[in-house]
Amino acid sequence: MGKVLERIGIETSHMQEWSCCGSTILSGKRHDWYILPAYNLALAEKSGRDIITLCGSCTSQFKRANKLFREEREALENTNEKLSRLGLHYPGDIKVNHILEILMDNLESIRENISRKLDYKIALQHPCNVFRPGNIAWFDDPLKPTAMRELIELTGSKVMKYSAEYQCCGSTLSLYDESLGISSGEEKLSSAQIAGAQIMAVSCGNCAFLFDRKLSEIKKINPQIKIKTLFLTQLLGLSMGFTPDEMGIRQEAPG
Amino acid sequence: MNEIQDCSRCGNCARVCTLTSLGKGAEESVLDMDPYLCSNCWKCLEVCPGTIDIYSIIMEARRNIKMPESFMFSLESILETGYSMPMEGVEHLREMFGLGKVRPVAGEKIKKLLK
Repeated sequence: MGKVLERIGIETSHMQEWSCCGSTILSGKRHDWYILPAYNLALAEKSGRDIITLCGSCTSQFKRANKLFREEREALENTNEKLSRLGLHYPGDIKVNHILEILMDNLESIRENISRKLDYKIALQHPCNVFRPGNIAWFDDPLKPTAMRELIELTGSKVMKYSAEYQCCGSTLSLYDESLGISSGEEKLSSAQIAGAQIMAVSCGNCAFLFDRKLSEIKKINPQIKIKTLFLTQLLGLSMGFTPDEMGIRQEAPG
Repeated sequence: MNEIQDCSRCGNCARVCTLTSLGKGAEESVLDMDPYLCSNCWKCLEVCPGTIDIYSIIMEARRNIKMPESFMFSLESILETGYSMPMEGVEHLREMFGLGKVRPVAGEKIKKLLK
């Protein structure tokens, strides 16, 4: 991702000492769930940078925390009291953008850097929490988002519609009910494969976790699954002329 | 946003729910479901004509019942180490892919923060 962003003129660095956002795991236990998002936002503040997120859940938790801090002064004061224990302070104004938002803001520059037509057949996995709730995300159409389509089409690939396209991947579900999560993943991948897709493009770590890291589980219930999961930026990178190896793709990309 | 008593039981949320597409959805309202079964896709929020704060209601419902074991495992991991999943091996993976070093946060700092 860093290489692709660098190509379009955006300099990034990895956050040192970042932590988990807490996701709905922390929110399901504590009312002060916003402390962990604020900790990460305060780290960004300290280094004078905005945050780019890859995971839908982190995106949502960070944006949700910012909204809360704008609306409830007390929550921000409580947060800063806690952050001061680590010598940190958060004013409440760090900009949070999911990678899709950054890419959509730089469509022209991406187009200029495309040097290779990919010609793949690609299905899309739209990351729920990047678009919903709409009044937290403020990005794209909450129920029928188009950002991933626009970006993938720049690579010359064909976007394949499939019946389960706008369904959630089910990764979060697998934490509570493993078999339900796996069957959700299987439904998505098989539906995309039946529609003719060779690749499932994802733009959320949580979706990638289910489709890629848990692929062996999915294959246990459907050995016919052959579709490969790649992160959207890996595909953009290939189209910009980077090698599969440079994009962290271990096996040969199809086509 | 509105509260649970404002629900007219129109059924919109149940129709778009991820669980419904998996054959495990609620009949009328997602608020009737086991709150831990929610997949966090939040389509329900977009189609609720009563603008009910389904997110907050589900999170509060979770806080009021016993946390399932798998969530508890992740929660304890977050509170102890700052990460929901074990971070061992991450350094090696990053190195394999030629990515720079990222120093993880010390668990002590997270404990101090969430105390």
